[in-house]
Amino acid sequence: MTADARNMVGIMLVAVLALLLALLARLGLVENESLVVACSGLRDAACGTALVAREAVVRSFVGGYLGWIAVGSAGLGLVAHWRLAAWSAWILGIAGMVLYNVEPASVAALLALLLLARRPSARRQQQAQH
Amino acid sequence: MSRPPAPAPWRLIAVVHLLASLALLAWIAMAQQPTALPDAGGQRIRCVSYSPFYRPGLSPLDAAAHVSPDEIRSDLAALAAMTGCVRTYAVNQGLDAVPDAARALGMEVLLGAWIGRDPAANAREVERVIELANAYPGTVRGVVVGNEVLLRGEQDAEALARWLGRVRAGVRVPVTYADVWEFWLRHPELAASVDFVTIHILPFWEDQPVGVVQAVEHVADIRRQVADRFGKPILIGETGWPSEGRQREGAAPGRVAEARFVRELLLRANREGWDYNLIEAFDQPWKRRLEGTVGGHWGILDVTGNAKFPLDGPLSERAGWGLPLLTALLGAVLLVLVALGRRRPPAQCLAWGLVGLWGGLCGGMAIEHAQVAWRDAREALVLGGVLCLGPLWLLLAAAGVPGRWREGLRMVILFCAATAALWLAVDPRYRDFPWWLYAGVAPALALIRPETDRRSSGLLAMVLVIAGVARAVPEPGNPEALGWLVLCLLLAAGGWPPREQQEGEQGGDGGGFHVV
Repeated sequence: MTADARNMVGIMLVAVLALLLALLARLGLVENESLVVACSGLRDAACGTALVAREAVVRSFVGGYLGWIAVGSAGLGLVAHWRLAAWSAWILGIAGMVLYNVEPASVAALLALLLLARRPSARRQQQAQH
Repeated sequence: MSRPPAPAPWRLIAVVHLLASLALLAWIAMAQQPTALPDAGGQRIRCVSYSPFYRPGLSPLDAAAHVSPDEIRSDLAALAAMTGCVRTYAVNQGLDAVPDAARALGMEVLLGAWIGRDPAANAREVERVIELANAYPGTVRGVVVGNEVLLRGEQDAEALARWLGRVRAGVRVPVTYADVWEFWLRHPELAASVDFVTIHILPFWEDQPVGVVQAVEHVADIRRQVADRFGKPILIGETGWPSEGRQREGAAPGRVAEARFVRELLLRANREGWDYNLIEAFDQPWKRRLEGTVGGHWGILDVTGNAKFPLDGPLSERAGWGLPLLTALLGAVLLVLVALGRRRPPAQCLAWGLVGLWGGLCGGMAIEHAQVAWRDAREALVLGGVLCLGPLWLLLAAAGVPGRWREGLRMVILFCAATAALWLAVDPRYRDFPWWLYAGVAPALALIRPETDRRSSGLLAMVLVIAGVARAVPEPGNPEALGWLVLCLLLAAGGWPPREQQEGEQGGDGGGFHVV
């Protein structure tokens, strides 16, 4: 397998993971009415954790924060050539597409995909070797 | 080393753009042909949803928005010619002036109290609606406590029943709750809390959208089902058809479709004695925030107060050739002049002229669509910018501007299109297909191949294909979705790397298209 192919497989695996986690958060916490009904008025630890997690997930996408943070990360990855920022944009972008921040998150995810799949230029490879 | 790129297929480019232009011109001509529809002249509309927030800049979602009694009087005076009843949805933001204005015109009101999440706001609405119902006994013919509250999940049925009980105890007119018919079937216990059952039947928005041809029959079927279930008087609280916006499977918005639905509904409902309320009086631009272009165009009157269609006689979807013909001529002349300026051979000049013709036609259609769809200055700025990218690329290509710029612009166009395709794949319900933003440039992008390595353009091409297929598969009967898929495939072809790069050779970064 070539380095390019390995890179693409890595990108896709991370995407699948982010997608699954976001779906879990959406269907298991945000849209899970039975969770709210079952936990209302209860004070046990499991319910407390679930409701705190639900609140955190809801806060992440209300106002579009998740999507816009992803866009910011993608912008950083583009301008500063910072790969970690591109990975962050990729993960947050995929999550944001599932968690109701479709517009900014799609832009971020697409830009991140291009950045992560980009072949390093010869000049940058030389710089890295030095 | 890259092989020299193949020359652009000018004859094919000319033929494709000529055929596409002829097809679009034929479609525009057909849309101007009158369609025979049933006549409903002389029929009065039983009742119609009324909201005064169609005026520029107004929205009930803005808590500070307020409508004056004069504006309400003027609206109801216009509506009195076609109906004797209006339905409202709230009594705040100046809407409590509706009963007074209606009484002066001899009209009736189905007075709505808005029930949402906020108990204090709900209490204010309920108290005010009780006051008004008692103050205008001959005008307020019923009180609608809550609109689609269960659909939005803002209260449960038990809480709703309490609000209904409070109003019923305070007024002497019939009281009801309004929701989509399926929610009534899910919560039959609410029937005990109302004097009549108010159901919304919107064939366009059904989970399985119903085309306009079957729409009124669908309304009749559902009305019968619900009447059989509850044994109480039924009010069809909302039914109607949109005149603009995206198609949902077989349900296509349109001026002719809306006129057909309204005329057929009037004839059927008045013949069979249905109690119904048409949605709605005026187009409501603010609703496009919630439901996309479709949401703003359910009115029988437009935002200037003019009727969108007559109730008698044949009707056409479009009136005149309008902007597209003008922009088509402009595009053709411009690109021919640019090509002549570059001293291109006559065959290439002709091809560029046809490319310009098609690009201009699509640009005109895009501007027409923008007038009904774009919601604010920000959207106009962003989408207007995207709309300019295609013509700019065509101009650069015709002028033979160095390839690096054109290549970059091609990437930007593909990026925007791929983003739109993702939006439509993931969250399609309230989005129009942005066909006209990209159609003008798509065939040229596909036929005038890039010659440089842009692996990223290959990735965008893959995203376009996957997202286009993902949108079309759930809506196989929707020509708009299939058209969008074709456009995605064309754009993807325009981003697919040239053969030499696919075979593993890496081209330079700054090469150009072989169009010079």
